[in-house]
Amino acid sequence: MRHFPTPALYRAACLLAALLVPTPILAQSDEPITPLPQNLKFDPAKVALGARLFSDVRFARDNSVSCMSCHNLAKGGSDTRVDGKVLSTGAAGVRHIFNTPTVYNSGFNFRQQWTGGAESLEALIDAVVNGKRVFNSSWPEVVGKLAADKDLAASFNKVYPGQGVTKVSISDALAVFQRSLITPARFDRYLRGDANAISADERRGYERFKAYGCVGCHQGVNVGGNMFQRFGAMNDYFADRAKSGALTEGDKGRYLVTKKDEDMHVFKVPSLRNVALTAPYFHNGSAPTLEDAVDVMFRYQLGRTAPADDKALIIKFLKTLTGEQFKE
Amino acid sequence: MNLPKVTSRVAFVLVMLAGLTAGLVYLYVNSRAVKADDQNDALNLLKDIKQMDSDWSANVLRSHTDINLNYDSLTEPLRPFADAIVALQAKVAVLNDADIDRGIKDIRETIAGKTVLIDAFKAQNSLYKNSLRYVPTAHRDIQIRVRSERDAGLSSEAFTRRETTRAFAELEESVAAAGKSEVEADAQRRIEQALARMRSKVKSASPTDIATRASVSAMDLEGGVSALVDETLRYSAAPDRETAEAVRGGIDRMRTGAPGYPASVREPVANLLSHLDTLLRLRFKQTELLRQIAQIPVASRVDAVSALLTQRFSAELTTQFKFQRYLLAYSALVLLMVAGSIAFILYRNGTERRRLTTLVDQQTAALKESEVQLIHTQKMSAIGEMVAGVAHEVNTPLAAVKSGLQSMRELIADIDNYFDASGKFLELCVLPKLADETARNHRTSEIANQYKALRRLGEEIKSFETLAVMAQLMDDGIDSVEHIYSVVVNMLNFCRLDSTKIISCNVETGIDSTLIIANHLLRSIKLSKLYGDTQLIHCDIAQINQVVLNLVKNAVQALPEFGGAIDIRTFMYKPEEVQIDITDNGTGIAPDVLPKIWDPFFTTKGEGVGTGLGLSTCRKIIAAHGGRMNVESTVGRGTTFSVILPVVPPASLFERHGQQIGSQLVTA
Repeated sequence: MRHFPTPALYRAACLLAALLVPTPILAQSDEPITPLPQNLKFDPAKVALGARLFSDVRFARDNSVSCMSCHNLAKGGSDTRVDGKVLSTGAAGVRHIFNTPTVYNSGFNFRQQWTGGAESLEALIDAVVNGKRVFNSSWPEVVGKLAADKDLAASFNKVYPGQGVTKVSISDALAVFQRSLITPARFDRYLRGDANAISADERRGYERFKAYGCVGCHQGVNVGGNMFQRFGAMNDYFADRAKSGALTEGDKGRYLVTKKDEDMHVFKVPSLRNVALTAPYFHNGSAPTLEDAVDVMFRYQLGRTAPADDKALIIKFLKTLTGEQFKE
Repeated sequence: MNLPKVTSRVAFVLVMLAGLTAGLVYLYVNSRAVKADDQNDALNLLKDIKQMDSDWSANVLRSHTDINLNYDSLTEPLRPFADAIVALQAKVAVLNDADIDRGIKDIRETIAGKTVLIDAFKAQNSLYKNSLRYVPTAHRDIQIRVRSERDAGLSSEAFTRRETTRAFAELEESVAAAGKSEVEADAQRRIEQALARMRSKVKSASPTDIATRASVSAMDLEGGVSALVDETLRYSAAPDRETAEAVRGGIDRMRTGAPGYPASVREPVANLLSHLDTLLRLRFKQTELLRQIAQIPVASRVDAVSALLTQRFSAELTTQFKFQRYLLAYSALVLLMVAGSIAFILYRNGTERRRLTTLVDQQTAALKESEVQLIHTQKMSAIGEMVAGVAHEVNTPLAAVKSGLQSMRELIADIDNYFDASGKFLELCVLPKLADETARNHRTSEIANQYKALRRLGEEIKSFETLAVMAQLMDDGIDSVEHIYSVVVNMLNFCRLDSTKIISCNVETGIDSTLIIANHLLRSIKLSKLYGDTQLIHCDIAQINQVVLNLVKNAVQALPEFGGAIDIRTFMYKPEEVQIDITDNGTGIAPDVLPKIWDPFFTTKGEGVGTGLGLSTCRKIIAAHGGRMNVESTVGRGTTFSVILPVVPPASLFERHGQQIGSQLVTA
């Protein structure tokens, strides 16, 4: 203690020392993006049951739409119906205020929805069942409809003995199924050491992605999905949007959840996995192509410009994040 | 002891036991109430939360210092935190402690607060790092642009000067030419054209002038930008208020001056300024955020709950310890009571046992007496039966003797009369001679009469063969008496009333004498004796005879009214065992009754009918001789009773002999 003028300094020094000593347990990867885990195990019975529920229209009050309606699993897990309309429609044709994000790899998101309003997949399921713009139903109604299906009820009794068709078992089956929806990509192979998994251009694109700071937010196992960020961090995106039309309710972002001023226009940073398949982009679906999206990001989030060549390389890199189960 | 008293005593004991047990259970349960496992689990969960929180904070610093390249490590704890809180709530639910529940709620809310701050940190950190990374690039970009702008500006000034000089030369030439020209208007026009060109050059030279000025200010800009960037980066590395104010002032000045900058650098400068602004703003906020995150009292909240739990735990342990001591004391008390009870019970038991022993002795004696009585009764009955048989055997000859004697008595009257008459005749004969003739005549006639009478009587006796009859009667009487004698002797043989010794005897002889006793029962029955060549056996023959008699009587009773037959068979069952089979062709014994026939008071006969020895007694007698009895019976076909006797009885027979069954017989 004599060597340090104050205990606070002593503590700080100790903490610094602790941080500087490399910890073998938390072996640091050199890359800010980490590959998808390969050893995940899911109960196949629950996955099968969840898959069945995923395309079940009885979740909707008017039996018009299922999860699958807005999360087309064959095409990147987001809405493929939105020809010209940009935003998804739920039960009774009600238009949603947000562009449907992909369901793939959503288990790796730290929260669900653009606003992070759902802290877990289970909470998300609760939100969409009751959501006026999604299923516009209620648990008693959903449980009632599903339990009346003898075949489905039998499956539930088998997979959830002593529980049967309940809010908890339905949510669990759907959540387990969604967690099982992961899309290993070429880039994961590259991260695992297969240098030839991506082309030289794509690797250069990744270098640009890091150099321009995209990776500041789009990092981690899900290339995003683990933080919030203000849309328009470096330039006022919404002021510019307001010039071309009125702002929407959805533009308020996380403010809708917390009602705090500092959360106005704050959104969950979306995962970039399968981004090439999930046009249109942003919470409002305002960017029809990846090029548009990258431009907007450079202008409003990075606050800088880049040559068209670099942007093209970045887009090439982004396409390596497409799950290998999808045909590129 | 009457019943209500017993019931109330039992009830009292049960209530006492229930009370003691309830007390024991209450104390035991309370002395084990502390769920150490649950407590430890809860404390471990709290420890986990604290550890995760500490790791979380460390990871924030790692992200801040770019050791962590992504934020996954900052979001990964969210789920474990939620799970741990849920698990913790489940663990402490049983405690039902509002303080602990509130404490856990505090932990949860504190973590939620920290999550919000960390979310803000992530957003800021990424922007801050982005700006930090971009500023040098942006600066270099501006430098490049400014330099090219300056170069362009300088070359543009030289061009303007060259052009203006040339325009003047043209003007001078035009004026000179105008002086030489014949057509004034033409000259005028040329001058005017030259002037116009001149004007246009001068006009075009104006921007050049501006460009010159711009290039000068661009060079100023470059110096300003460099200074500002240096200052900002210095602030970023070691923030202090003065530098912050200087940077703030620099940014503001540069923004104000922006419209005067060359167009090509305006945007890059604006970009740079907004990034510098971001750095300035976030550097302060970042410090503030990190300070706030560090101040989030998750650990102290966890410690508070841990302390509450530990406090509660130790309080519970104290209570439990108290209860354990109570339990110990209570157990000691109960043990003392039990010991006392045991002592009391032992004492009572001793007394009771002594009393019971006496009682049992008395009862055994009584029982023995009653058994003896029973056997005696049975013996008496058997003797009665035997006496009946004997009486029958004796009565007939006795009646003959009686009637013979009565006849004799009558015949003796005749002889008596004859002796009277002969006496009177002899008296008359010996009387002195009478003087008186009349008297003599009278006497003579009297003697004659008497003689006649005597003669008549004599004739009578002779004619009735009275003496022969009497002799015959006497002979008959003697025969009858002989018969009675033989019966009596046989009876003695049967009962051996004169001797109760174990003797060596022949079973067939015994059977024969028994059959004589039972003769009166066997009149209309076909009896077959199938005697084998048996060895002499040592036995109390009187008892064996009684058994045989009993079996014969039973057989007789089972026989049909007509055509009854009894076979008595003797043979050597084994070299050392003699078997007697008594077989009847009677009704047989039903299989369900068969096992009961050995019961002491079993009978198929009517109440009050003399039974003689029961089969149980028979079996006892035979068992005492070391033998056994068997029975085989078929309903409708008949029954065979077998008696198997050893040639040499067990030594015990000699010991008990003469004291029990034998003695009773003797007494009887």
